[in-house]
Amino acid sequence: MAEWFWWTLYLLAMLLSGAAVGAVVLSRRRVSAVECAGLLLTLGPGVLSSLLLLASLCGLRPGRTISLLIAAASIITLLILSRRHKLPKVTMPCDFRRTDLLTIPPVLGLAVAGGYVWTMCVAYPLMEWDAIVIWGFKAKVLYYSALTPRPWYFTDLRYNYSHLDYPLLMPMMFAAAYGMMHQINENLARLIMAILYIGQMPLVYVGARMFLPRVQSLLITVLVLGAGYTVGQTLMGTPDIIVATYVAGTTVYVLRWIQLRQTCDVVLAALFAIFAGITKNEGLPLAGVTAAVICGLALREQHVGCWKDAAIFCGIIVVGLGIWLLWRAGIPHTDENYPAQLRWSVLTSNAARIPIIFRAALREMANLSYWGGLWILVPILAVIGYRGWTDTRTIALWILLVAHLGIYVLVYVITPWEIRELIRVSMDRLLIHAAPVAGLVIAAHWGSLMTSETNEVGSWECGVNG
Amino acid sequence: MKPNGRTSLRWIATTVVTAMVVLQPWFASSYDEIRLISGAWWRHQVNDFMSGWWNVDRMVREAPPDSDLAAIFVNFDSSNSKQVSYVQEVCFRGSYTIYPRRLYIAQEGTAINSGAMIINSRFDPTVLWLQEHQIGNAFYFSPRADGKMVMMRAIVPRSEPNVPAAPQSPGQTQLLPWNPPQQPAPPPAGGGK
Repeated sequence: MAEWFWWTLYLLAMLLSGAAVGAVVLSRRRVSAVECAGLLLTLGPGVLSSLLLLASLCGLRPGRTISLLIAAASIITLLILSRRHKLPKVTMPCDFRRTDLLTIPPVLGLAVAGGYVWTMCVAYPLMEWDAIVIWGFKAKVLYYSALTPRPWYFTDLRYNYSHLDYPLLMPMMFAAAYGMMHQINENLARLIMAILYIGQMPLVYVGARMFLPRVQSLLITVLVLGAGYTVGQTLMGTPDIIVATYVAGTTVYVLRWIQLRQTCDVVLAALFAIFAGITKNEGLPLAGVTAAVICGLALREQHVGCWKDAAIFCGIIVVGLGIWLLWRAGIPHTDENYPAQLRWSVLTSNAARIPIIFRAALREMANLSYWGGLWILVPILAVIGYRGWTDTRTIALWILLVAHLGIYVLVYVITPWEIRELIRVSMDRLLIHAAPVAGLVIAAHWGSLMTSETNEVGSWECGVNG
Repeated sequence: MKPNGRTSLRWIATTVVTAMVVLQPWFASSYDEIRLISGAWWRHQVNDFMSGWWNVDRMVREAPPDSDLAAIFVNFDSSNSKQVSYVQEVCFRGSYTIYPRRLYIAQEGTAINSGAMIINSRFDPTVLWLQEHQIGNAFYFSPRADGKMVMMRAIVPRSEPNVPAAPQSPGQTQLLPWNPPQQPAPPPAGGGK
């Protein structure tokens, strides 16, 4: 029981960290209760683990003292904001209609999925090969040693199979849990995956609400989070669900920035992009793609406020990801080292892989037991909801989705590994990262078919996107 | 577009999306991993599900906890996929389990990405080398003709002259049957995870 007590304190520390950062960024803004819940559950783990990584770089191992100090600092921040009346205003939905009864089945479905993931995460320790050998191993390294001085693990090539230079956010989430409980308890640490899986639900819902009414937004959320492969991989303990959650956060706040041009939205988008980049290597180029979309839109607008927001976004991700890349520079990169493979000669000699990659991707996307109808619906709704192509947000979503998948195609083209074997073990996981964006693309096109009578999205006056 | 056309398209989109969502639980339940994990939990067989990993954990934890360990694989064939899998399970899981202690599987500077590379490294330390690296126990593995593996745990003496690396305690022979874990075979290391 003691481990449950300390784990609960760890959860509180996470939520408080997320609340403090969210309150600072969204100061005095109106925030729906749903969005507030999503930010608490997703920002919290990222903020706390990032701060603990910084502390580890300063020679401090994750433990009770430092986690509770961060929680205390978060409480103080919230109290100061409260005294100055600068807290965000959390609003509840107030305009209920009879059709809102139709929200009950999808909400129940999401609750069942969340409960199932939670139960299975507690029931099993780390059980999947990569979850143990790559991510669980790093979690133990971070639990037992600070990053300064650099632990011997990171420079011993006999451990190269565990990918010494992989990012450390998820291992730190686990290490912080171990540090709070003072034991290696994989079952309870795995609940981080359940929290981020559940936290993605409100983010996807909030994103879909920019285009659709409540019921339809919930259907999109079920489509994205109820996919068999997404649920299954959350249970495996690999960080793909974490990357998907942070990609969802980045995308949602980029969309809201396009809609409202609020600086707080680019700050949140940048934070989520950093968290994605220090969770898995796939997050690094995605941050660049997102920066390109924001900068492109800012240049098109030719408005000083937009340029300022674009500069803020780029500045935050350069600092955040730069710290990680600087530290990572001292670690041996002997197996993949994709940047070194990015040469014209490699691209031309491996061009024959492109049809193989596309065939495998289409086969994967059409797999109903893995994805349900998520990927199949993207082209269908793109055609049926063709009016959506006139919306800047829809174009931005398509650029993000195509660039996201295009980066993976490029990686498959230049990889030194045997291509069919690599596709077999990795392509399905990469599609999890892009699944939230695919869901929002469906929402954007579906929303374009709504008339003003059927669509009550973005009710900013009452219960913002609630 | 005429209002009727737009309404028709909206109904088509709503019908298609709703149908996919309604069928979602059926699709998800047919995903093999969910069936495997849920089934084992429902039948209270979580321990059986993890038995493959826990066999390795038991093996490395039987050694005294105050020193590092070594794993030496004798007469293994890197083209034999079962033997490569076995080596990977022992080395990679064993290293994870005993961390922050070390499980030595190769000489310094040897880049290890797979079980085949461990086998091909022909790690065969002398007793002096084991002593210099403060290794208290060395596990010697060799394959039998019937596919099972033989494991012997040797205690490294505290100070001995440079003698060939043979098990010092023949009385500590233990038969370790090869018991693969009940999950999909591990992918090759370095698969871009």
